[in-house]
Amino acid sequence: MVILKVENVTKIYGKGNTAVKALDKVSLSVEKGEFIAVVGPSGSGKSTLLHIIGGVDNPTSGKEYINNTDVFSLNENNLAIFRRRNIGLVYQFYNLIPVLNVEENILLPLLLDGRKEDKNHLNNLLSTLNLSDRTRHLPNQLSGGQQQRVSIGRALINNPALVLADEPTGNLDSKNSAEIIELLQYYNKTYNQTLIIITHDERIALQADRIISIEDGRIVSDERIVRGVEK
Amino acid sequence: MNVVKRITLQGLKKNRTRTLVTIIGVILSLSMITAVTTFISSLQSYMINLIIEQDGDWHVGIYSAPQSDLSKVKESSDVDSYSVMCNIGYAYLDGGLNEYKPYLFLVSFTEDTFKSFPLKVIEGRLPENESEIVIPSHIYTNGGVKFAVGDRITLDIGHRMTHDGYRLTQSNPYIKLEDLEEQEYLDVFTAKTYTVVGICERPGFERYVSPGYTVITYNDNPSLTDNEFDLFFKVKKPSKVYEVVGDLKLEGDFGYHGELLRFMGVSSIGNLNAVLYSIGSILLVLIMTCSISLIYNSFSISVSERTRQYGLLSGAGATKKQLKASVFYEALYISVIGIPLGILAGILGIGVTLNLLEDTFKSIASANSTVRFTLSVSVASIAVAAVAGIITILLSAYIPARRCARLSAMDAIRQVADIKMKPRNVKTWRITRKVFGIEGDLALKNIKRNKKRYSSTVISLFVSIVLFISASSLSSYMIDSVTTVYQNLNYDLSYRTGLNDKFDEKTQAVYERITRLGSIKKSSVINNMYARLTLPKSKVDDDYYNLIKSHGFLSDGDNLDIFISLYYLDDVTFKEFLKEIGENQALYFDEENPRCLVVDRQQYFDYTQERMIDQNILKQEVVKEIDVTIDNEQGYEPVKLAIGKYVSDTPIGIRHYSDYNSITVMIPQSIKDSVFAEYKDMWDTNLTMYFTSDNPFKAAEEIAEILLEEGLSTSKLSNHAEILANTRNIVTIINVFAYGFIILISLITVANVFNTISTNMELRTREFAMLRSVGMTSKGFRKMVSFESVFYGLKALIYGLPVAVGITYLIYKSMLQGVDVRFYIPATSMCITVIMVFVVVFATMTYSMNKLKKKNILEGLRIEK
Repeated sequence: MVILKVENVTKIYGKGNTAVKALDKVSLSVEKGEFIAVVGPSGSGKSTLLHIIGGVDNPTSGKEYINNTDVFSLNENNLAIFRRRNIGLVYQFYNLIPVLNVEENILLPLLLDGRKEDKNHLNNLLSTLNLSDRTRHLPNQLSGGQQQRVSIGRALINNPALVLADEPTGNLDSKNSAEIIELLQYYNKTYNQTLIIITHDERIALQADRIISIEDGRIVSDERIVRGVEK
Repeated sequence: MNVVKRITLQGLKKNRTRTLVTIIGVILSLSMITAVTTFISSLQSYMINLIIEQDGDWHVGIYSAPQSDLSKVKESSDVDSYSVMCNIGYAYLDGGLNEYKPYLFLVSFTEDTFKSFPLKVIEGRLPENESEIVIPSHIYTNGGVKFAVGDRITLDIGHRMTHDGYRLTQSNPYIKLEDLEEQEYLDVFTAKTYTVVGICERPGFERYVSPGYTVITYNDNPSLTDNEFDLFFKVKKPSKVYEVVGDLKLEGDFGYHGELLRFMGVSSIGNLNAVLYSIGSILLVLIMTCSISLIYNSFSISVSERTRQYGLLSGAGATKKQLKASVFYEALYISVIGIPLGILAGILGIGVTLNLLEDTFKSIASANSTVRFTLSVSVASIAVAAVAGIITILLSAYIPARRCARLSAMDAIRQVADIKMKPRNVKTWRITRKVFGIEGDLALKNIKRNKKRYSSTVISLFVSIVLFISASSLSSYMIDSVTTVYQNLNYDLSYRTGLNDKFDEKTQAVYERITRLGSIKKSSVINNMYARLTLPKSKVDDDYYNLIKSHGFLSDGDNLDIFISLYYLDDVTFKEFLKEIGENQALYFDEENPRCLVVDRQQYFDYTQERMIDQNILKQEVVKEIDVTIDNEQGYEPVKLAIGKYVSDTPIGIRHYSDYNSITVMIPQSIKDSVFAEYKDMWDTNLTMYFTSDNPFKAAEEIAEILLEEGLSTSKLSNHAEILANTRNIVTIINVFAYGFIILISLITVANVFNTISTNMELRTREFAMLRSVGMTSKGFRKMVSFESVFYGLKALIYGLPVAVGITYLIYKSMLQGVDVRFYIPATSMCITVIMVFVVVFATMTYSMNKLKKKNILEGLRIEK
């Protein structure tokens, strides 16, 4: 089942002589449950692609469908609502709300939606994230790895169609990095959660099902990893 | 330019709006400070000019000086200038009306004396030789004797002597004694003819008690004899005046021009200067407090914004000194632009204000002075303003600078302030989220998070709220008190005659002439006396009886003693009034059955009950006549008067309500003459005429003319319209300054609010972007920001409004000591304040929100932490 379809997406920053083409007619199709790593040098356009997929940035031209919804035909308000129900975003710098505690940060998309949380789901999530004893802490009282786990929790609370992660381990040491990737993988495998991550780290990229390389705004390779004997 | 300076300058440029608002704040506070100091210096120079006009331009005066002192003064190098005033002597003023000023006092001036004692010539010119004189105008307006330019008068000049041989001077008032043996007399030594060449305004140096009108002639080379002249001189350095006088070793009886020296700041004993300086200091402290809260805020914002940069700098080896310096550079750049502009704006502002208010000022200051109250900028006033400004900015920069230097490099990079936050700091009630949603909850948490940064802004909002409301309460109470004191008068002009019982023929004629003037609408002649009335309980209004009983003045069943203000009016006025109220005139003029009109209405503030009392004493349906008891030693029988009617309107000159525990009783003059014949001496010593007019000022002039022509003094003529106008002018001046001050303070507050909120929003750009990326809608975002402003404004209002009401109550309490006013909650100004607070806060939030919305989410997210 195709969960995401990107068609001829072009993004141009600036105007006239200073215009920069960040994405050049990118097309892409993602099946439900895929774990995709996007790699490429700095400035290649991979973050732009991720942000356009996540609906936080508009393409200059092109279309995108998530679960058959034409994302950029939505008005600003509906787009915001669509985002909080269908997309989970994880950033390098966590971007937690400093005045909200761990539980509230995780529940934020639900709170914004005015919905009640599912206690079981929350507790499962907290224990999987290893944050059960930290629910009342504020972000500034947590380590970097813990903060990133909170932001993953926030991305997953809604069972979104897509989880997008932009260098989720870029700010963490190797032990914490490994934990985060394990977590993401766990959700991918256990709940068939579709996952797209941007990374510089080859070891992380190699754990994905599919690696997309971007250079100068174009997809230069798109290959599936064929696992060895253990699979 | 070193790197620290460059980084500072870049920071200022990058945050253009905030820098601009800070500079505007500095300009505002400097202009207020300058306005205060310049106003004080203008007032001082006005007072100095006024004193010079009145008492002359001199520092030391030697009265009845010996020749030796003159030569000492002439030779001293410390003396700037001197002048002599020769006393020639006294002459009788023929036909003078003022019995306490029976003389002309002749003095001769030299060229220099005219400089020291400037005379204002109304008509003609100053004298140019020994046989010419200039006459002061008050010989006519006060003494009733008219001289014209060109008149030649021959005067028998002499000395005022007492019967036991003392010579009297202008400082000895004229004393009229019964015993002619004891009476002072004029010892004539010469006769001289003078030509009147000019009429001048009353010289200020002539004291009101002096018995002679000063008449001045000219002699540039007077032959001076010991003790026959006064010597006045100015020293080069007024601050050294006491030492100079000490060195001169004067022999004559000398005195300092104390008032002038005091206003010049030489002498500092209890005077207006001290009052001015202390009020000035209080204002300065108030202004500086508000300004510091703004400027400090803005520095600390820019410091915390650049903390990371500072961290990097110190990581790169910048010393603490350099970091501190960077804050002070920022202060310097802002001062260099803000202080001069602020001083200019202040001078301009106060200059325009004084110009617009000049006439208003003049009317409350000395009426016959021509000194103008204009802008006078002194070096000292600018210096004080500049220093106060620099202190304000330095104090504001000091705290953030210290904090910035104290941070360790790592702490600075990580921005410790946020790290210190604990869950309980941002705890909110469950109900908040239920009622206001997650947006409201987030807003409240943010308010709590930024408590420190917001508190100085909340405080300055609080100060503005309190100032605004209390000042408007004060001014409305003052207007109230002016109205209660003066607007209850139902006449415009009054003239007290000094006759108690009956007009003499002359006064009668004057009254009739005045009533025929076109400018006079209505008139009356009234006098009064006090009498008593004893009432049994059955005749007293029940409420009133109980009120007096509750005060403990009587026990149940006792008789009540009250006062009567007994007025008589001239028959014409009385008859006209009877016609107005539809009463039969004949009944009131029947000597056998005298009849009166009664005002039985008490209006006063009862302190024990804390409320206005407005009620009557008599049980009016029962009381049809009264026994007027007049207290005198002979103990006459009470006079019985039938009550014709209880009235609520009154003829002019009589109030429409009575004093505490008294009623007003009115009878016509002819009844007074027959029925009250025995009580001649009991009437007040001033039989008074009252007039109403559409143009009281013109009427006052015309009446004064008639009085002078008839040989009566004008001093007992009062123009109440003028008194009222003057009082209103005082209120106007107070209002202009109070509101000007409040508006400027409020503007500083607005700048402060703007800076704090907009910067705070900007600092949270990334957080906002994040919220939007997880799906907060624009509506939700607006909701959050609106809640934040509401909570923020509410906080200032919750503290500000009760305090303001409290201060209003204190103002009311202190006003009560002078006049009866009612306490009220200053609702109008409170509403204005509430609206203004929310307008300011919302406008700022909307401004910053729109600025944020222009950035797309991505830009927001990219902003470095």
